[in-house]
Amino acid sequence: MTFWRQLLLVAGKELLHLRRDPYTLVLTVALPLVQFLLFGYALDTRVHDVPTAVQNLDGERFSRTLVDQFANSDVFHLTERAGSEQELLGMLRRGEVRVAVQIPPHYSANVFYHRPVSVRVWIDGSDAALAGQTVFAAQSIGLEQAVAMTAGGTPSAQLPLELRPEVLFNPAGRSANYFVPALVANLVEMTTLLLVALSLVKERERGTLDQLRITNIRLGALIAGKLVAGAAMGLATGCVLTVLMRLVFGIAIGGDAWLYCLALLAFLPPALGLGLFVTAAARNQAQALQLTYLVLMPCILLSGFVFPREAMPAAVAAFGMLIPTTWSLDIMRGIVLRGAGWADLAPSFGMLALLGVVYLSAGALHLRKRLL
Amino acid sequence: MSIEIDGLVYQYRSRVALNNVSLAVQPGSVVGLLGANGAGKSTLLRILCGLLAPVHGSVRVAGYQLPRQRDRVRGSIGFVAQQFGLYEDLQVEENLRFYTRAYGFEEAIVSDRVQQALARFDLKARSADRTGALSHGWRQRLALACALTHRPAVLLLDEATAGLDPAARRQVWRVIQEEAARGAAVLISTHHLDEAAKCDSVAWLHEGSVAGFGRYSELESSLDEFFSRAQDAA
Repeated sequence: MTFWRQLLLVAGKELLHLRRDPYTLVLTVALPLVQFLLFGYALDTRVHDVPTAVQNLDGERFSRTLVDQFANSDVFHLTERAGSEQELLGMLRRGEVRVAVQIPPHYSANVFYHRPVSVRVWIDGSDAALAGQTVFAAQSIGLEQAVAMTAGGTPSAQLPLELRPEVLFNPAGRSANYFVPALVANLVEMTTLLLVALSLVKERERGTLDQLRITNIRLGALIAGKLVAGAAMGLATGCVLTVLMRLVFGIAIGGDAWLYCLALLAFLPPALGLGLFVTAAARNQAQALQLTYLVLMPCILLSGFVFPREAMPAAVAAFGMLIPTTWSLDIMRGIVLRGAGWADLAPSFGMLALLGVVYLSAGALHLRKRLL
Repeated sequence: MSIEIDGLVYQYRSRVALNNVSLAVQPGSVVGLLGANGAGKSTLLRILCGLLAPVHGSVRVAGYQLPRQRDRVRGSIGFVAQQFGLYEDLQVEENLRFYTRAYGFEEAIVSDRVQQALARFDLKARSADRTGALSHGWRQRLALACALTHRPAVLLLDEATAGLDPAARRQVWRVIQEEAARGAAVLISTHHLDEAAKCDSVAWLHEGSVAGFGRYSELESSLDEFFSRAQDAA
């Protein structure tokens, strides 16, 4: 038998395996397809429509023009108006806005009389990629305005308008500060999901599931037992990673430590629910791993973990709201980097709890239906 | 009756796996299920375990109607499947302890039952061995021990002696006979005609239907005829 005939024989058999196992075939095609669409369509590193708040202490013509400059920019999206500096910074801490602009009193008069004036711009640095681009965009607006103001006037060494961007929460723009707290959330969810996803499939493959089902252990207790073990391992992973975050990367928890513990607990239910879906759908461990990868990929790419959500198309960003990691990252970066408290993060905790209830109950029902 | 099956029908999608099967097993008796591969033996045993729900017909195990009273029938059945259903990463004693606990016994009883099982199946010297490291014969012995720690009223064995050497097979049969003597109803599927001869009665399954039922000696001639016809057809 020639080498080519041997090769064709083996290749033909492999294709036959794929044809006979349509489930694996679908997953094999679906994974690259999802990756292709995500990277091609959904992911964009250019940020736009960054939620921005303005406190205009002047309120006159030139200050309104500056506000319009921000409003008309593709990068900024004016969503809030603040009455005080405290309110402005509160919005940033709560994660409601990513950029806060404060226009000082007498801004218009100073511009009119060509007196130097400076505008403060605070930028949320807990997202390094977003911070870098918004600093640049704010400075461009400042420069554009300054050039317009000096046109026809006396040339001067100093620009009449200075936009002073100030990066908060991660002023050094250190990548570790941005990624490590998010990684803790992501890995807790990943560990939990994977353990639950594999656990029942393993039992099914080894034949122990049938043995368990004829003992006095009820189906509810069987599923709950698996969930508790998965949650315990997820939590243990979270604790170890938190210690490493502090000792290896020198990142301290800026906010309340108890709230941080609550956050670790809150990450578990949605991940457990998704794990149940995977374990109900998969026929073997290889399929469970493929499905887990399929679930985790959007969790990593669409949650704001790597790519800013502000850079995503509206439909994709809306879909991202159904991904638990989106809210986990907001909570984690909020507590660790911004020092946000319960009141600031209650909406994100609420969304995570809602997703937890929905995914967990739907996953349990789906699995129950498969097993009964 | 410990097992009462009347007019049982089961289908895998469009394929009829069991067609109008009726069978009864008394307490203390051993009934063998004979039949070619795919005749429906494993499906029948899985239905009796409550793992599959029949499409038609009535199935009663240990006095409970299946699948309606599936939860109540648990604990009355001991089942050894072809796959053993053991945790390979656990030690022999850990497997026994887990399954005994799973049948809902108090901790003091669990320890007693585990020690009894280790002694009965000569597993004491292997109690700390990982199950995955055991040979086929030892695993089969452990599977049987796990299935019997709760002293079930009904023992279901799916090709329990497949792949065993003659000594190990003899030991399995010793246990089966002890269980029957205790009053358990035993239903065992097998391919070995010599084992069928040891059963009190034999049900011969052919293409999902009971083609014959009675003592092996009564069925022997028709079985011989069937096998020679099958050989001729092949």
